[in-house]
Amino acid sequence: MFNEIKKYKSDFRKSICAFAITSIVAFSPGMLVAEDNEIIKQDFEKTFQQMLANPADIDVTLRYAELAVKLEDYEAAIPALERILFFNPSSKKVRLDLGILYYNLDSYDVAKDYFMSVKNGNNVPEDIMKKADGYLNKLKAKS
Amino acid sequence: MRRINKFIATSLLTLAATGIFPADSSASTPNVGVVGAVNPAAMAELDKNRRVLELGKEVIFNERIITNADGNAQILFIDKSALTVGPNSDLVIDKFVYDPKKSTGDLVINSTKGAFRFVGGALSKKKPVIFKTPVATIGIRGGIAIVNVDAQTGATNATFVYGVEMTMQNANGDIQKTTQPGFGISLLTPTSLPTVPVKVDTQVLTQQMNTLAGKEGTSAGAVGDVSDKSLSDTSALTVSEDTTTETTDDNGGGETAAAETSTTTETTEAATSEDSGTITESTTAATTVVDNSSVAKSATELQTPSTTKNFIATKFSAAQVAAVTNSVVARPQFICTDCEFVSWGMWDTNSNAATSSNSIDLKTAVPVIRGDVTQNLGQLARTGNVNYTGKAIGNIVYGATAGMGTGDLLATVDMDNRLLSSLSISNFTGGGVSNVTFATTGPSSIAASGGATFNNVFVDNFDGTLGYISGTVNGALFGPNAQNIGGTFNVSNGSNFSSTGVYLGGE
Repeated sequence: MFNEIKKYKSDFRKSICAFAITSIVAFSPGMLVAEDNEIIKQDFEKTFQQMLANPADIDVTLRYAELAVKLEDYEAAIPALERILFFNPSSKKVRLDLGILYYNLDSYDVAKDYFMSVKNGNNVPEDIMKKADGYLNKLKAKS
Repeated sequence: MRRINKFIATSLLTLAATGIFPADSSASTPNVGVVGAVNPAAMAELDKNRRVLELGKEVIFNERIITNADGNAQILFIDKSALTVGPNSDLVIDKFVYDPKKSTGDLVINSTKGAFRFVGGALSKKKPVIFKTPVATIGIRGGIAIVNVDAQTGATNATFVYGVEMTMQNANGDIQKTTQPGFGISLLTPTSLPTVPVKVDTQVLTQQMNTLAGKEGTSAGAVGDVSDKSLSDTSALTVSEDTTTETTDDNGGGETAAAETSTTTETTEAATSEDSGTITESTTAATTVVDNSSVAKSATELQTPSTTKNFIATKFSAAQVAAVTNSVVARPQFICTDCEFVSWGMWDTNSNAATSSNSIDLKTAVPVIRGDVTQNLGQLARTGNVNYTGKAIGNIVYGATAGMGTGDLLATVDMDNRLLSSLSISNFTGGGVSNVTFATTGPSSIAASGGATFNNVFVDNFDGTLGYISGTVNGALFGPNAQNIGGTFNVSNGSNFSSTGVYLGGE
């Protein structure tokens, strides 16, 4: 149990994708226990089936990515967000999220590519740009 | 076969139970997934019946997926794998067997051309997903990989992005493996040897990513409002602040910064001491770093170009060093008389290296070049073909023998089209090998703006003693009017010979 809590504290600290405000309220790290994890897994599987049935539903796709992140299954979250990028190639927010997902997988070259695409974009919101810059500096420190 | 049939049957039952199966599916055409995103024109073909791929429609086992120059798609498999299909691609789902209760089965994809990104799901966590091309069989285990297949020759490049491992095998069973994200393996023909894994250049990776991305103005079949604001509002997928607390600087993080933290020392000794943490070292193969930080100019042969641009050939990998019994060798000498804007030297990464003025320790010493990279080649008043001649120098491992080798450089640049038409290194001799030659197999573009660089250009040759040699060269033109050429090379025969080094030449 301790390990479960520790694991999710770590997950929260890393916070690669923060969730909707309601999710955060319901997802305090100290509250995460094995039973919650099982519920999330069930929700994750159910959402995947919904996504297969209707891959054009962006809300469902985002929900799936969100649950994948909660389960630390970044590999599952990545194609969901990359598909959203197919739907909206100009989204810098999704590019930033993808960069962070790849960063957390230690796939730094691809992460850098996504962060640079944010940095080189037009009309990028200041907060998004600042975060991309922050990660680029972290990458520089690692190299 | 009975086992496979059992898997198929299990999958069918599960799919039917979960309602994934389309109403018109039959047991002979099992559903393997759905079209998760698609931009025209992408087609599907089964038993010579073609249909336009549509978002949300099922993908059928043994169905052929074809995209033209404007088409791309993402296939979402029922095991949660995903395959992004780039433009001008052609593939067949050769085999898909999935037991969702055990999360086991097989996935085999066969492609004749195109660009693909595979992101693993349940299947690849248990055993490698297989990607077949005209020349290669790629195994992707527990991870993510990008695969490019040449439409004319089938020559295949694969980049390992993340996961347990990626393998590439030729028709003879020769195999290369990498476990390092960002490393790639190439194969030219069915019987050539897969190259040793090399770090994929940033620009090449960006090109691969762009090929697989949706194009601005397209929506991949989605309907309704898919604006950035809409996505944000519905998902609140934003990042937390505590992940971005590093200090910032003015360099933007856009370049590899392997050597930026080191101090540099200028000396006339050929084997100067340097910070040992400044050169990328691979555990699987020698790599090449293109870097814009300062390095020590160290050899007596060095000129003094006033530049910050450098190309660095990396030192031997740990595996290569472990393979040799000798490492201190005589220092080779040569001077490129026409190389006014680019020069070479030796950089010893171990300050305690037991080297002398006449010898170097290959465990820690690397050949490097530095020079003034030509800027904005597209704006220079250069026309016609320009020939460059010069020298090459590199570390060699041949069996248990290590050494330094030198050879001759000949390169031709088509200034009208900004192409590296050809580049060859011949008479490469030393470290137990002699008169080795390798050359580019076709023209490659040189950047027209910014630094006049070329990256990851394939080289190969069949050597009477070493067999098939292949690898890559990176490089640039140097001087304000592209008077010089220089760069790094990395070649191997896939078994007992490998070499990494530098070349430089002048008009």
